Amino acid sequence: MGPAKLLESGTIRSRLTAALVLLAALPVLTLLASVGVLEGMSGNAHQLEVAGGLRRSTFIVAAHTTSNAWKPAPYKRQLAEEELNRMMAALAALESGSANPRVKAVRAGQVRQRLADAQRSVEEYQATAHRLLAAANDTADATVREHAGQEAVAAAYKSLATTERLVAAIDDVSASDLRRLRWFETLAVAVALLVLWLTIWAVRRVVLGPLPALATALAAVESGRYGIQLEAGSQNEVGQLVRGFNAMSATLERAQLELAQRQADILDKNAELERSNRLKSEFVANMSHELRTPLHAIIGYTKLMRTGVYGTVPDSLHEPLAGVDETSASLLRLINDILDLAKIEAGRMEVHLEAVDVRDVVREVAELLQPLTVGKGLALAVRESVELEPVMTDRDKLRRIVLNLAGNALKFTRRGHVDIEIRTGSGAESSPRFEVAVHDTGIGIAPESQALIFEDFRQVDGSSHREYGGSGLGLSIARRLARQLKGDIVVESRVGEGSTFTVWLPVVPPTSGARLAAGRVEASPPGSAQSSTPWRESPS
Amino acid sequence: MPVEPGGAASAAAGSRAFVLVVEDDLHSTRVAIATLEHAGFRCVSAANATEALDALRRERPDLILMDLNLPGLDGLQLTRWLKDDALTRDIPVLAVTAYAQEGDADLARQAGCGGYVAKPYDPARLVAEARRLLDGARETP
Repeated sequence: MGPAKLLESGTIRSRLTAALVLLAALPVLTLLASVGVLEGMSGNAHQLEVAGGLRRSTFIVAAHTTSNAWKPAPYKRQLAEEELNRMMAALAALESGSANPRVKAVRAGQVRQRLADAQRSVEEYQATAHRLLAAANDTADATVREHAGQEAVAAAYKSLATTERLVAAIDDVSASDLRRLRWFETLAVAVALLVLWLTIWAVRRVVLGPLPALATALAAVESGRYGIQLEAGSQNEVGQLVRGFNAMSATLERAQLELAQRQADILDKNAELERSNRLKSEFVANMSHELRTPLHAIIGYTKLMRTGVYGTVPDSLHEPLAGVDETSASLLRLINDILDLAKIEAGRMEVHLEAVDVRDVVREVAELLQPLTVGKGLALAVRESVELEPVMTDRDKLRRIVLNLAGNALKFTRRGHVDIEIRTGSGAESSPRFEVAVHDTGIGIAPESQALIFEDFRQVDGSSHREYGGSGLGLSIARRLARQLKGDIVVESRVGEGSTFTVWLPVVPPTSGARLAAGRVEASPPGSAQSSTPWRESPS
Repeated sequence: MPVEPGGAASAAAGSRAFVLVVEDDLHSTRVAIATLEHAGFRCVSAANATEALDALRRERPDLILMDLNLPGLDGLQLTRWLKDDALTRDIPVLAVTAYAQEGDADLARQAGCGGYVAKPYDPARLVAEARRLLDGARETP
């Protein structure tokens, strides 16, 4: 198992901890080892001291022996003996320890060899000294004394040489201990440096190594390129980080794919919707054309006949011709209502904003509907309770709304009056708005039916259709138009007393209206206004 | 019904104004012709662009009543064609359509039609529009 493999197993934290513990332990170990070595060295020093004492004693013995040879005296012999005993004690201490705990027995083989040599040499020296001490007497001549002194000194030198070798051997041991200590310290420093280097190398390789790649990959993800996968490598924390990144990257890529898929789906659906909307619009346009063309001929022929273009009309035909005229106009209204509803449904009804005087529109509608009141003895009146400045709105749509509301009121009122009132008001957040309220004294609408009457093809009940006619689309169209103009229609009614239909629309001053307009801001062409307003010609 | 025989404009001109009715629907054609003739105009009809061009070659009309929805070359294209031609450019064109879509009037005006009437129309309105265009054409040259 190589070092790299070793580094990749286990967590980074555990390995860093191990390295730090090792680094901390090294000085302690070194210190302990040094203390041991130093202790040994201290013992060496004491041994040296004892061995050094041997040298001194050798000379003292020689001095006493020589002195005794020249002039014998018992105390001299005694002193020499004491010194010799001291030497023997020192040698014994070196060989097997002493009462002084600091002086330990020598252990090294070489030193013990020298110690044995020294012991033999000192024993010889002792024997020589004993002999010389015993042989000395007062009668001896100077030559003999001289000779004895020389012999003592020579023996001393001989012993001394052996002792010196012992000292040198002990000194050698001391020096080698010192060398060992130095070597050990060097080794400890080297090991510490190695561990440090290994730690740094491991951190670089295991931790810092994958990080630049990870940073690059993250930047890629940030810029929207998902799905990048990195090699996880080791099992450690960085490996986990890399695997976490890979999982995130994969998830993001999947999410992106799903999003793209959904967008494509939505685009498809939009295209489909647009296609069907276009087909619907085309269908509306075609139906408009196909229905109006024959109806145009019917209405045209009838009007021409009634005008006498084809000759004088017999009296008996006046009524049926008027009936054809009336019913075809009513059919045209229905067709227009259905087509308008289809146009609104298909989103084809554009809003054309212009500055509109609401009073003009209401008066125009009242004038248009006036003929319907004649046969019924109804009163149709316009009440203007406020001064209203021109507002930005769609003139045709407003006229259509008021026309439908007022036409409806006339249809369901047999006697009494229909009033069209112009008012101002304010809606949510007190935004200014204007209202056109149509009051009637008609049959009224029950509360539970009031919500239903705005639905397509809906009348209060089947019988009212037979009695009052109409498609049931008028209110539905009016409400849709009002909502398209950001307003609405509300109804208040009591059965048997009458109803009030109120359309409210926001008041937009002409200057700001031009900017707010969503559709084309231009007056709608007179031709199209004609086309979508069959009422204009029908009541004539 | 205020459709009076013998319009003031044609009476002032001393002869009856000549109208080319370009219309593919038979009954629409009959109604238009009856209306216009009753008002004092002289009419000839064409059911498509080819017939219209033939009729134009035979006699130059004072006014063209143009249905916008013709088979083949439609009324708008035919009008543009006529307005591109120096010989027919000055003949006023009154557009008629049963499509009645928003923007049709704009398209007609852009193609060069001087007026626009949606079907079904009130005969009086058709006559009024026709007279307006004839009067305008008489003043401009």
